[in-house]
Amino acid sequence: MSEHATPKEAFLDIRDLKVEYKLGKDTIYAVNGVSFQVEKGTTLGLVGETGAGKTTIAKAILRILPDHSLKMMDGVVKFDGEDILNMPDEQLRRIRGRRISMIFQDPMTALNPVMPVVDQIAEGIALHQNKSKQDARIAAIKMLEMVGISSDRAGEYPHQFSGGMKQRVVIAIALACNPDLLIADEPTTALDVTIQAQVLELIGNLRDELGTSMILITHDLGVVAGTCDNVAVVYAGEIIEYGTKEDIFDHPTHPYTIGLFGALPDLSKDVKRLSPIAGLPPDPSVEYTGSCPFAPRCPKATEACTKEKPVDIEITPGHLVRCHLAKEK
Amino acid sequence: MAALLEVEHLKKYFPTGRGTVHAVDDVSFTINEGETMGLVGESGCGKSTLGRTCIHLLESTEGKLLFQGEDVTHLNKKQLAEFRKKVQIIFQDPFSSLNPRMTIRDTVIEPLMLSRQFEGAQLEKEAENLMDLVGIERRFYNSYPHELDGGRRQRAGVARAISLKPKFVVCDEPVSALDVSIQAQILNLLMDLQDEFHLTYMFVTHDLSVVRHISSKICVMYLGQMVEVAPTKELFDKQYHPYTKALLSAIPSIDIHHQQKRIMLKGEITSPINPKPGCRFAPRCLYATDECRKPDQPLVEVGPDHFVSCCRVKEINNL
Amino acid sequence: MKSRASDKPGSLAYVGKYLLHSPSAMVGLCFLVGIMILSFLTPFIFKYGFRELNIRAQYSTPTLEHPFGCDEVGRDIMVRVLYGAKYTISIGIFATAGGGLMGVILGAIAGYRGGLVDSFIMRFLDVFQSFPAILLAIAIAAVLGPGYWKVILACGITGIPGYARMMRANILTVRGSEYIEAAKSIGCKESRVVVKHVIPNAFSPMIVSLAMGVANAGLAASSLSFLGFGVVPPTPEWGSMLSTARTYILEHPHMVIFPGLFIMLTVLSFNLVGDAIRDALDPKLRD
Repeated sequence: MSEHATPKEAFLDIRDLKVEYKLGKDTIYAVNGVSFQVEKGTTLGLVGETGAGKTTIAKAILRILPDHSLKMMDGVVKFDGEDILNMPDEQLRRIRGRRISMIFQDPMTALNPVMPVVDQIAEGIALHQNKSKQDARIAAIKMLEMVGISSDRAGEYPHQFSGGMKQRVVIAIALACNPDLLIADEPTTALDVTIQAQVLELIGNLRDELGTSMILITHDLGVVAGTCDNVAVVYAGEIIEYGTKEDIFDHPTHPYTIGLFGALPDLSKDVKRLSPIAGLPPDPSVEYTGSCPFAPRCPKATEACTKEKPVDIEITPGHLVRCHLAKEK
Repeated sequence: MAALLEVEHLKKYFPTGRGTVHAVDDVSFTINEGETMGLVGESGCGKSTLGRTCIHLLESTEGKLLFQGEDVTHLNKKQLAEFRKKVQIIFQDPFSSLNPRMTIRDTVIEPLMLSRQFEGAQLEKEAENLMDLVGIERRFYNSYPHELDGGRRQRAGVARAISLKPKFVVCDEPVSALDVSIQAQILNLLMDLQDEFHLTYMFVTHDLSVVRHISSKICVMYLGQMVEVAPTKELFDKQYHPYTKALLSAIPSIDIHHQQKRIMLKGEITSPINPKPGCRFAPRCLYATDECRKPDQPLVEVGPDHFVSCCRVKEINNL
Repeated sequence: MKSRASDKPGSLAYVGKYLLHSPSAMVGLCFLVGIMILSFLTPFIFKYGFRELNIRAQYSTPTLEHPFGCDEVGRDIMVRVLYGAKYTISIGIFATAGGGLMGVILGAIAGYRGGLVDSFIMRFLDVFQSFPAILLAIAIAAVLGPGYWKVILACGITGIPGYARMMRANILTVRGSEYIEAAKSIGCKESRVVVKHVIPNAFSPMIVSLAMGVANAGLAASSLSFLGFGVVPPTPEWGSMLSTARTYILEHPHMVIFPGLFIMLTVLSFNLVGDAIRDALDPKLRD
């Protein structure tokens, strides 16, 4: 599939992505210079709290941010060697849904309520793979079975399905065209733990089977631990720590990452008090050009943190930390 | 420890167009003074309904409620007003649990005013003490809920709940709508308040790591019934019910080197409308036999204070 | 967090502040207030009275003397249009206020009590709603006979079912919120729950439709007058002016144009204000 790929370039290459949009009179600095790569067949976890800009990053990759409020989008998004941000709409439409698919958080609103589920899956297949209606339907039923929904329920409507089954239908739609990249935005947050386990296992198996690359957006470090190869921790629209799963979970270095782990009630340890991160999430209408955005909440902040914006420091090969204190290591 | 709340064979049914929803179906348990009981289950299992029924926000269909030894199953208006001062609730969604047209100060003052224990300046002072206690800064006293973040809103909800110095507080998923870092702040606050005012909590949640952290005893609920009840430590060491096993194994662990094998359940949660007799979990259970379809599956003590409702518990666990 | 002043969201003060900052709403508001003031002052500022005949100026096209021209008996149309403004606008406001009040009360009772009371009220209103609004207004006006207050009654009654339905839906939404449960659990009496928590939150979305409703009621009043059921000549209600003038529409179009233009401008102004109120109350536009 990747006939255009040059060997040196990553499969998905994002460099210095910036997104700003308008909210009333304010400017929201949603994404502030994010760079990362996703190699073929690997999974990247984007972790962060509400409003950190994770979803905006995902939507920028597909260029589906709402035009009316978008103020500025800058940077480079290269998918399989092609520049997504400067691509004509017609060409982009052929990539969306066929080569890059997205799973949204809420399965309840992602499905068309007046269309049988099998037709919703077949629609994409017919559109992107030039198959006849009949062939697309057969392929759609196969997809449904693959996600564990028996073919005799294919003609049913979304309201006849439970939340977990709807999310599986959404996954079936996303994977129907065998995409090269799957972006899953909190795919299991609306689901119960036992159903979440089923859905995560399903996504994992399908990914291994089809060799799909994946970006998993979540706030749940436990989900990341079980699913991802690489992890990017997002704070205030920046990636403040990036590395392999082992780098992040065994050697968290940025004070925010350390704080996230500390705030989590751990099943394997007995602690009387949790150690929350002090203060509140950053105000997205403030642009942090001359300081570290985490400095106001950081227990280790020094004067330098409020006067100078930290840059990425590679503490071990591939493990990047955007913190002044990381220098000392 | 004395028992604070005793619940005996409690049932709560809702009639609907398609049949009767057995939201809570024959549930019995006891909560001791000063302890935190975790009530765990997945969405639709009736845990929120159970919490609300215990504090008379919903009226029970059948069964008995004892509070501090007194029968509080049926209360007249006057008794209910007295009962309300002793029991409170903290809600899940800090966005919808505060009246959008009342300031934080007014929200906290309201219960104090209604209790008629305070007047004028004293009322204001008491409200400010409460807001201070839960950590709402002075500059937010006169703010409206939409001007605050989720964490502060939840703090206001906590202040309202503890304002009348209740004995018993139902915490209905109080942290599940919050970010991890804020979640820890609220959990710490709840634990501090418990120590300070000797509160008893019923902590309703779907998040097992939270419940393990905060509770001394855990009840696992499935489709309106208790399937396993045990002290927290005991339950996390050893689970006997197949559902509890699956539930615990499904929690995503942050320990990347010891990812445990998840027990995959088949199928989805079945409907609570006119359920079939027998074990409610049988349709999804890996060990289900015909025996499981027989009615009446009582909770059986399998260890010290450890109760399980499963007719095959001995065979499954080699007891 | 916005640093907007801590006005009660959805309160009149909050809406008022928003209106002051919206240019289109201010244009509408200025037009309405201005024309109302002029309407009351016409006897003092213009040399012609609204029913002063002047046969020599019969059918006069607009001149400096008569900026909007004169009608078939030589009355000054500008004076008549301005004098008539208070009828159309006040009918709109009174009819909406009355109909809105009844609708809100009925809807609130139906929504809060539920059960049989709900069914009875809503089925009763269904009967009303099964007629086209204007037909119902005509029927009521025909029974009552013409007159200022009777038009208000006719236009007001036709509005009741719509407002009641909306209020009922709002009550049902609010009644299911957790803050209502919270109010009960802290020991609020039922009356306090309704007055303090349910009604204020259910009412604020109504402000928009009430504002929009004024334009509709004014338009309906003019229609009734046009058809001869409303305010009768010689009172210069815009609808009845149009009704008389339509005979001369080909020969003397100015007689139709000016009353028609003012009906249009008034409806437009009310809608501009209504739009701004909707924006002020729309939760999606707030943070």
